[in-house]
Amino acid sequence: MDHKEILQGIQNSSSFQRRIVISLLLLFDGWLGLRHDFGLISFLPQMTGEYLQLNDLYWMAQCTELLGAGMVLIHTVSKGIDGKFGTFFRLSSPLLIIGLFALCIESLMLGMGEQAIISINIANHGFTGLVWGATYLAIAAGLTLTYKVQRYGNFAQSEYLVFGAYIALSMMWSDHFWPQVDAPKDEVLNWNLLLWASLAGFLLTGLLGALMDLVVMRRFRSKGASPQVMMIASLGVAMMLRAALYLRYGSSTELFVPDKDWRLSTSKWEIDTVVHKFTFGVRDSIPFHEEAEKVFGLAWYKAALIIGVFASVLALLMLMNGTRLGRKMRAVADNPDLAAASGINIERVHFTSSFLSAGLSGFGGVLFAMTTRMNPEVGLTILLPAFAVIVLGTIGSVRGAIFAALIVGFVRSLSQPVLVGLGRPLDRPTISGMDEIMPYFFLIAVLMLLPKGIGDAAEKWRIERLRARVDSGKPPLSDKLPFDIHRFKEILKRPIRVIEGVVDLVLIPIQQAMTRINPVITNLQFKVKSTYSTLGEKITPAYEKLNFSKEDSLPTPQGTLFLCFLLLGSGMILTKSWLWGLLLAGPIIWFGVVKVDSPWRLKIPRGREQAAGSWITFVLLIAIMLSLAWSIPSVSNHSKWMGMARLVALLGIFTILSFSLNLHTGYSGMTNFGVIFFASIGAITVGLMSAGYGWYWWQGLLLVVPIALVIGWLLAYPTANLRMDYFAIVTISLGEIVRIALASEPLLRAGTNTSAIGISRYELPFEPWWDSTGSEWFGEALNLGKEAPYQIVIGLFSLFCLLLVWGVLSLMLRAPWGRILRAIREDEEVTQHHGHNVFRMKAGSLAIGAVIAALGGALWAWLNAGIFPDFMSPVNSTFLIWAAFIVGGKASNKGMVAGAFLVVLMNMLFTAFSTAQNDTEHGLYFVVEWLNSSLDWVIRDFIPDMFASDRAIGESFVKSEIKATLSYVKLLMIGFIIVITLHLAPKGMLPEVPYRPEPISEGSDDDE
Amino acid sequence: MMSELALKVTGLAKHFGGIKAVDDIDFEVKKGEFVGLIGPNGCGKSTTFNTISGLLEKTSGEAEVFGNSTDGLAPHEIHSLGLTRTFQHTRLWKEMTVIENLIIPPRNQLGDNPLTAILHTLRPEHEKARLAKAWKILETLEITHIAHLLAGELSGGQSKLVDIGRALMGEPDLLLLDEPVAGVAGPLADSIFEHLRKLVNETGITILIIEHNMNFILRKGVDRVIVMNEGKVLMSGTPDEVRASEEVVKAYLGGDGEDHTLPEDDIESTPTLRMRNKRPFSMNRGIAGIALLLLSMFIPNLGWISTHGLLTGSSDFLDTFGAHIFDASMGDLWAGLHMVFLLLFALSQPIILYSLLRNSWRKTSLDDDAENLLLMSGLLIISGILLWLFNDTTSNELPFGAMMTMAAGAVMYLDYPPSKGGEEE
Repeated sequence: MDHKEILQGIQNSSSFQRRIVISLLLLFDGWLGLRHDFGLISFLPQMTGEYLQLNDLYWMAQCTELLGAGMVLIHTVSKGIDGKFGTFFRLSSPLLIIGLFALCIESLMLGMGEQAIISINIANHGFTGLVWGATYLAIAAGLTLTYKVQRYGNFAQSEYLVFGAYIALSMMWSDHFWPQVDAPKDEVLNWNLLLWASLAGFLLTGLLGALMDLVVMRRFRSKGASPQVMMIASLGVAMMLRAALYLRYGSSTELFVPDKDWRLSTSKWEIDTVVHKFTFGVRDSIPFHEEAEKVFGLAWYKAALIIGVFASVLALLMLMNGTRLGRKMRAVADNPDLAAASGINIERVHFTSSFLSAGLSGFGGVLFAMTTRMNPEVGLTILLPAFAVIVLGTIGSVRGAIFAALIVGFVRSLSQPVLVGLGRPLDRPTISGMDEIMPYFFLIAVLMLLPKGIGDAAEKWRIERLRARVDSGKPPLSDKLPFDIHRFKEILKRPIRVIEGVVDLVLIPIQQAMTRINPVITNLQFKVKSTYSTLGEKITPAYEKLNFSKEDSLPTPQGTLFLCFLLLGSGMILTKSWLWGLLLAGPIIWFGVVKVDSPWRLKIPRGREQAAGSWITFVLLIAIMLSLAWSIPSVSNHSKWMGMARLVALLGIFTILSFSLNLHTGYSGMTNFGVIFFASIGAITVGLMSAGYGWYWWQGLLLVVPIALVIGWLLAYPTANLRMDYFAIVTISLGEIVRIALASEPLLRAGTNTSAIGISRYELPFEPWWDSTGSEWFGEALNLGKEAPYQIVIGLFSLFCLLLVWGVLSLMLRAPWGRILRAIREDEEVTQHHGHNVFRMKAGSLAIGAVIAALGGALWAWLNAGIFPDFMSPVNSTFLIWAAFIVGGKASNKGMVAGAFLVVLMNMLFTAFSTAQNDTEHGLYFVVEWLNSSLDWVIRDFIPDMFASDRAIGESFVKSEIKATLSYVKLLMIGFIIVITLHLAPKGMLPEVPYRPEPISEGSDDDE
Repeated sequence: MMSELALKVTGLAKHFGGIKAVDDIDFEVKKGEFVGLIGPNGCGKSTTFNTISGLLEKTSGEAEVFGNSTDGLAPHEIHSLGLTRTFQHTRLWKEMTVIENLIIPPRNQLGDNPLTAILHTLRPEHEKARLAKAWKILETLEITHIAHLLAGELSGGQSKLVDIGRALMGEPDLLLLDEPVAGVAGPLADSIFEHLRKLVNETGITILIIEHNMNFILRKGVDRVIVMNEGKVLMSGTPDEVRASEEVVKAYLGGDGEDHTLPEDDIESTPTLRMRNKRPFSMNRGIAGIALLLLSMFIPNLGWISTHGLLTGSSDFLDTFGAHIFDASMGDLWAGLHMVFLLLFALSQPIILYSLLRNSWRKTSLDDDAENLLLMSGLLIISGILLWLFNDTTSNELPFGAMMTMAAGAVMYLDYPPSKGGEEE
C-alpha cells in the first residue's frame, strides 16, 4: 500500500509544478536549439549516427517545441493561479502568445543569420480582416442561429451563400438588368440591380432554406433524430445543392458587377494609414521598428460587404433580443417541449429561423460575389472557417459569433504579412498561401485552452460578476444605467419591430398556405395507402392463412430491401428493360417492404439485426452490385478488366477507410470528419519516403504504422474531452491544414520538379515483378490480347489488405475492447464510472483507426501514382466515405464493405456514363441523353425566365449547349442517397448486430 | 484489513457558482453496513454522490474510500478502489443488449486493450465465465427473459433492475445506489431491497443508498439512515431514531407518515389509429355507382374491354407496350408510366366492382369503394394530364373512361346536403 500512496502523492501534489518545470525546460531547450543549434533536437543526428538528415525539419521541430512548451506554460499558469493576478494573467495571455511568437521568430532568424521584415499596414490589414470577418460572419450567423434553434450544424449553410451569389449573377445576366450593367462607365453608381439582387438574394435563399427545413429537416426532427444525424443529413443536402449549382452554372468563376462604375479605380475611399515595419533577426543597425505614412484605398464594394453583413447580423441580434419573435426563438432553443406547451407554434419558429438564417447567408452571398469571383467550390472554403468561428464564439451565441468572426478575420489578415516576411529567409516563397489555415490553427489552440469557446467563458464570467454583485448587496448593473440609455434602446428597437411586422406579413401567408396544403397532401397519402391496402386485402384473403409466425416475428427494416430493389431497378434500366423493372420492382417494394401491415411483407425475426439475416443480406447486396458492375458495358476485354481491377482496388481502399471511420465514429462515438487527414498520413509517408529518400515501398509502409499510431494517440490529448461537433470541426480542420500545406510546403514535395506541387514518381508495390513477368502472365491468363494493366496487382493487393484488416478488426472488436468502445459511444460517463479508462480507450481507438486509414491512404496513393492537393479534397474522399458509412450502417463492418461497394459502383457507373457522353453508339448513351435533356428542360422551361436568359446560359455552357457534367450528377446522387438512407433506414443497410449469446448455466463460478 | 471504514467524508463541499449544493458535510459508512441517505428533493444527495464518485470536482473537503484519498482521481480510478455507483436517471448503454450491458463492467478483462484484444479469441473461457456470472445475476433479479432485448427497449422498472445488476457485475466493495427503486412496482421494489439486504449479509459488501421516499426506506431494514437537508447532514441514526426526530419530520414539510406513492411502471402508450366513421349503406348510391362503373368499363378504348384485349394478347395496345419494353427513350418513359397507371386502373376496376357488389349484398358502407374509385380514376386523369403536358408528340386523349369512373365514385361519395357522417372522430 505504501508505494501506492507515494505514487499518488507525487501525482497529486506536484502536477502543477511538474508541468511548469518541464515546459520551462523544453522552452529553454527549444530556444537554445533555434538560437545556438544546441540541445535535444540538434543532437538527434549525432545520436542516430548521422543517419537522420532532416534539414528543415530541425527548425520546424524546434519551433514546435518552443511554441508548444510556451503554450503549455501559459495554459498551466492561467489555470493554476486564482484571484486578481490570475484574472490579469488570463486577460493578458493573448499578448503573451504574441510575445512567444516574436521570440520564436527572432531566435530562428538569429540562428539562421537571416532577416525577416514584417510590415503591417494598419488600414490595409485591418480592413482585410474586416472583409474576412464579414465573409465568415455571413455564414456563421446563420449557422449559429440554426445551431441555437434547431440544434445541429448545418453543412448546407455555405451553399446558401453561393446560392445567393448566383441569384445575383443570374439577375445581372437577365435581359432586364443587363443593359444597366453593360452601360458605359459614367462614374455614377447605379444602385438598382444591387438593391433588387440583395432583396431577391435574401428572400429566395431564405425560401430555399425554409423549404429544405420543411422537406428534409422536419422529418428528422419529428422522428427525434440526434443532432449528429441532422448534421449528416444536412451534409447530404449540401452535396445536392452544390451539385445542382455546379450542374447549372459550371465551375467557371464569375464576378458580380452591379454596375461597371463599382469597379472603377476611383470608386474607393482614401484613408491615411501607417505602415509599421518590424525587423527580426540580424538587424545590422536597422532599427527593430520603423514607421511610414501611406494612403490606403478602401474599395466601395468591400465596404458594402462589411457594412451590409455586419448591419444585417446586428439586426438579427436585435431581432433575437428585442422582439416577440426573438423571445419565441430563444424559448424554442431553450426547451422545445416547454415552448410548445406554452402555446408557441414550434414549427413556425423553425420555419422562421431557417428562413432567416438562410436569407442572411444569401444576402451575404450577393455582397460577397462583388468582392470575389464565385464558383460553387467557394462555399466549402468559407464553410470550414465559419465553423471555426462559431466554435470559437461558442455555438449558439450570435454575439460570440460576431466577435469570433472579427478575431478570426484579423488573425488571417495579420498572419499574411508575417508569412510574407518569413517566406524569403525561410526559402518558401509560396508560404503566404498558408494564411488560409491560420483560423484552424487558432481554433485548435483556443479549444485546448477553452474547451467550450469564447462565448461560454464570457458568459460564465458575466454570471460570476453578477452573482458577486448580488452577494455584495449592490444593485444590479442595469438599474444604474441612466434613463436615456433605456429610451435610446427602445428607439433602436422600433425599426426592428417594423421589420418583424414585415417578416410576419411575408411568412404568415406562406405558413398558412403550407398548413392548408399539408392536410391535402396527408389526406392524399392516406387515400393512396388505404386504396392499396384495401386492394391488397381483397386480392389476398387466401395468402393471409399462409402468414405463419405472425406474433414472434418483426418486420424487416425497409432500408436494405428498398436499396436492393433500387439497384435491381437501375440494373433493369441499364439493360434497357426498365419497364419490366418498374413493373416488377414497384409492387414488390410496396407490398414486400413498405406497406406496414402487408401480409407479404418480409418477416424475419430481428431481420438484418441478427447474424444470419445480416450475412444473407450482405451476400445478396454484394452479388447484385457485382453483377451490376460486370454488366456495365465497356469497349474491350482489356478495358473491362482494367475497370474491374480499378473497382476492386477502390473498393479495398474505400472499405479500409470506412473501417477506420467506423471504428472512430460507429464504435467509439467520435464524429470524425477528417478521414482523409488520417489517410494522408499514410499516403504522404510512403510517397515521400519512396520518392524523396529512395526507400522501398514496404519500408515506407512499415514506417507508416508507428507514425500513424503516434499521431492518432497524440490527437486524443487535445480532443478526448471535446463535444461531438467540436471534434468533427477539429478533424476536418486537420485535413484542410494538410491540404493547404501540400500546396505550399516544399518539404511535402518529392519526385516532381522543384517548382511543381505534390509527390509523384514513387515506387509502386510489386512494380518490377509486374513489369518483368506478371503483366504478361495475367494478360494471357485473362485473354486480354496484350499485357494486363497494373491496376490488377493493386486491386489484388488492396483486396488482400481489406480482408486482412477486416479479419483483425473483427477479432479485436469482438473482444472486450470493442464492447467497451461501444459502451463509450453510448455513454462516456457511465463507462468511466464502471472502471474503464475512457481516455486510454479513445486514444487507442484513434490510434488504431489512424493506422487503418493510413494503410488505406497508402493504397490510394499507389493507385493514383501521385499525391496532389486535390487528393485531400473532402468532397472526393471524406464525404464519400461518410456516404458509405451511412449507407452501410454504423458499427457494422459488413455494412462498410457494402456501403463502400455502392459508392465505388456509382463511381464506375458514372465513369462509364462519361465515356458514353461522346459516343452515340455506347450502350449507355441513352442515359446521358436523358440526363442532358432533363437538365435542358429544367434550365430552359422550369426555372423562371428571369434567371434563365440566353446570356446566363451562354455564360455557363459552351455554345449554349446544355450538357450535364456527370461528376456532379454523381455528387447529387450521393447526397440523395445519404438523405434517403438516413430517412428510410437510419441504421443503414446492414445495421449493427447486437450480441445475443445463448444462456450459460453450467460451470458458473461461485461468488457467494 | 486496513480500515474499518468503507467511506469517510470530511468537510465535503460542492458549490455551483454561488449556490452551495453540498455545504461542508461529514459522515462515515462502516464496512458491511447498509445505509440509507435520505432527504427532500434538491437537498444535495445526488451531488454528494457525484462528488464522491469523481463525476464532479469537489470545491473542498475530502472523501476517503477504504482509507484511500480520492483527491484528483478520475472516476475510473475511484472505481478501482472498490466503489461502484448508479445514476438517478438510469443510464444504460442503450443500443446494446441487456446481457452485453452486464458483461462490460468487470475491470481488467482480458482483451480490454487493442493488443490483447486479438488474443482474446484464443481464450474463450474468460468470456464464458463472465457470461455465466451475468446469467446468474439476471436469474437472481428474475429478468432472464429480457436478456436479449436492447437496453433501449426496456421499461423504466426493468432498466433500474438491469442497472443494479450491472453495478453488481463489477464486484464492488462499496455500492452507491441512487434511487434504485424509483419507478419499480411495489412488490418488486420490496424484493430488490430484500435482495440487497441479503447481499450485504452474505458477501459483506457495503451499500449506501439514496431514496427520497423516507417512509419507504425506514421500513426496509437498513442499518442506519443519514438525513440531508439543504446541503447539510441533518442527522444520522437508526431508522427508529430518525422516525422519532422532530427535525426530520419538519424538513420533510410535515411528513405525516403517509406513503409517497411510487409511480407505476410506464405503460407504453399504444398509438391509436384514427378511425373514420363510415356512413351507412345506401341502396340508391350503390345502384347508381354500380351502373356507372359498369358503363365506364364498357366505354371503348379504355377500361375493361381494352384491358381484356391486353390480357388475351390481341391488341395494338400490347404491341405498343411490348415495343416500349425493349426500346426506351425519354418520351416513352412518360408513355410507359401512363400505361402502368392504365393497367393498374383497368385491373382495379373489376376488383372494386366485386367489392361494391359484395358490400351491397352485405349492406355495409360503400365509402371505401367510393374513395377507391375516386382515387384510381383521379390518378389516371392526373397522369393523363401530365402526359398531355409533357409529351406532345404522341396522341393521348384524356381518359374518358376514368372520368366516367370518377363520376361513379362521386355519385356514391358526395352528399347533398352534406350529412355529418364523413367527419373524423
